[in-house]
Amino acid sequence: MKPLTAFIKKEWMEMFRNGKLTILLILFILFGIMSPALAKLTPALYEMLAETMKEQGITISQMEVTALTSWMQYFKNAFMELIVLVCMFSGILTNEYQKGTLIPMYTRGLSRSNVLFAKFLTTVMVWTFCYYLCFGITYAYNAYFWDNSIVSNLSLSVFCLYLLGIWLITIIFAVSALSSSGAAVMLATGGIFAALYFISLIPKISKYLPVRLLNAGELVTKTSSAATSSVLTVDTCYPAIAVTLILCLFNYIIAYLFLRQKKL
Amino acid sequence: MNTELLPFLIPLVLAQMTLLVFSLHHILTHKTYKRGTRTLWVIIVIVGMQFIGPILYFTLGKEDD
Amino acid sequence: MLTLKHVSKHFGSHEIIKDLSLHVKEHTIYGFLGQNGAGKTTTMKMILGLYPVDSGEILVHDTPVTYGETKTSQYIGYLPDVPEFYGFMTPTEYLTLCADIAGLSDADKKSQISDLLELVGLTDINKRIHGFSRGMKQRLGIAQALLGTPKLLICDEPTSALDPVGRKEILDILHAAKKKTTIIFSTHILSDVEKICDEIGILHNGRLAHSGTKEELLEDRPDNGFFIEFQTPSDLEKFHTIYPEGTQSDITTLQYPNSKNADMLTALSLLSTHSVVPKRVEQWEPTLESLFMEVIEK
Repeated sequence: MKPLTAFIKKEWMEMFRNGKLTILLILFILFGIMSPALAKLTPALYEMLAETMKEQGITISQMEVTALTSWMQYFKNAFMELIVLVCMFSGILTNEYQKGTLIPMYTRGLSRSNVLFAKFLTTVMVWTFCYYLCFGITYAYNAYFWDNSIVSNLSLSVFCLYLLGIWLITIIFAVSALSSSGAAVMLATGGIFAALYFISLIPKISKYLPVRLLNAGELVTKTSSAATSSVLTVDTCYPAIAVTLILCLFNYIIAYLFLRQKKL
Repeated sequence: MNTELLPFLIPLVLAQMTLLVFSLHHILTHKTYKRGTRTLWVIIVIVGMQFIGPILYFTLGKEDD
Repeated sequence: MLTLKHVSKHFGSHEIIKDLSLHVKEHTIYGFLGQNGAGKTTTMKMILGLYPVDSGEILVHDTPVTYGETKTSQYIGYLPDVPEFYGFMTPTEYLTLCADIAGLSDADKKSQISDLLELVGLTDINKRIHGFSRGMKQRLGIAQALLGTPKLLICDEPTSALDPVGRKEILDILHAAKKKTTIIFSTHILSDVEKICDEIGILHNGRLAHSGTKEELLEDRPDNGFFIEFQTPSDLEKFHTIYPEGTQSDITTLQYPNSKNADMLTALSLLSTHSVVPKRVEQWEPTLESLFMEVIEK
């Protein structure tokens, strides 16, 4: 246990001291404020738009802003959060392999599974904290200005995006065990995401794909589940969640197996 | 309207400024970067779309300790 | 302390190590000589369990080394050629991390870390490793390698990247460490080997071309010999008729290559009985360099 806890402590020290944690916190706070702020600005933007449209003879009805407007904005921003996550953590393993900083650790008897677990745990903890901090800020603003009770399935939809983040983290680790450059990991992770996104255009498979969870915003509107199959509903999101969980486990095992083989 | 936006503006500006100061401090206290030069990164962080500049610097420019 | 039995290793179709056997005794400094690419680093990484062995066996402190996670890692300290550390840590923090991973007790940890920092001259340096010079990193590397008092210390070209001052510091520290541990030390710098090594092994083309103490290696070398410089050419002629050995290299000098000490004594006694007073009689010493060059050129 002691080697593992010592290495986890080192990971956290690194997070604090190289400024990564600070940057992530500030960014996720910004993201959290931005959704309600944009929602609050929407009527003003509409007014401006309506005035110019009026000159052209088109009238736009007054837009009513609710907590839903803000939450929809929140789910749009989520994609950006995922990009930030991948950018910030793509080098977590490859940096050490490139520089050779793990050699003294390995020759002292630290196991590769411990290295993987310590880094995975740290990344997941940082992601969990940052993501739910962002959520909490939006939630607080929405509760203050509007009424959160009009949205449904909020915790489930928020969890969907959180899980998507976890899935991306496991991809980062799996690809890192195979490649040795941080840029390659970033590209490969983005590539896998993009590839799945295009595959998801095939209606039959799409409901089983992790990228489906990106549409988690569709869960919060109270449209009936009888709507088209392309809309994510409470019923149709579970297959995607299950597949994502299995893929996370699969990626982690891949990462472990290849890391054990990886030469220094 | 304007007073309603204050709860957003104050924290937004604060977070924005912290990010800017933190990034500039990091750039100016380091001599070497993975890519690019000091002037380049200072310009990118100041001009770069509020938070995109700092993200770029911390992912592409910052040297690993 | 360390035994390699018929170890072989190849990368792809290229055979790096061919049937290498060697033995290192306790409390000695073993100099591992060879050109760049001779297989020194590969051998060391196999001893550390960082590379798998194709065939043969490696024993450290009578325990076999296995690839990946190996029991022997607790006996071995390793200093890479260019050690890399976590730049965001201070030396004390880094050594504490290493000690925790090696599983040292808390009491042991504190006293060892302060002793080692003193040995390598990094006491009271509380800045982060990020700003360290190469020599400082190398010294910290030795402290790291010696942590946990390993029975075997493996140093991969510890002096190659350093200036003469830094080099001397490292050699002094290694010499001091000899009391407590056995050291294997790879290099291509011959003077370093001559200064501190008790035993030497020359690795060439994946084989151990020569091994032994420095004296053993240089004994009976073909380039062992002496020469006599006479005061006048006539002295030379006179002596050459009495003792018709040797070859003339210039008008006043006779050379006796490939000769033993006894030959020199004979020549000296002949000089004295025939009262020929030479200007100079000198033995030319075989050097590690000539041996090394010869091995490489073969």
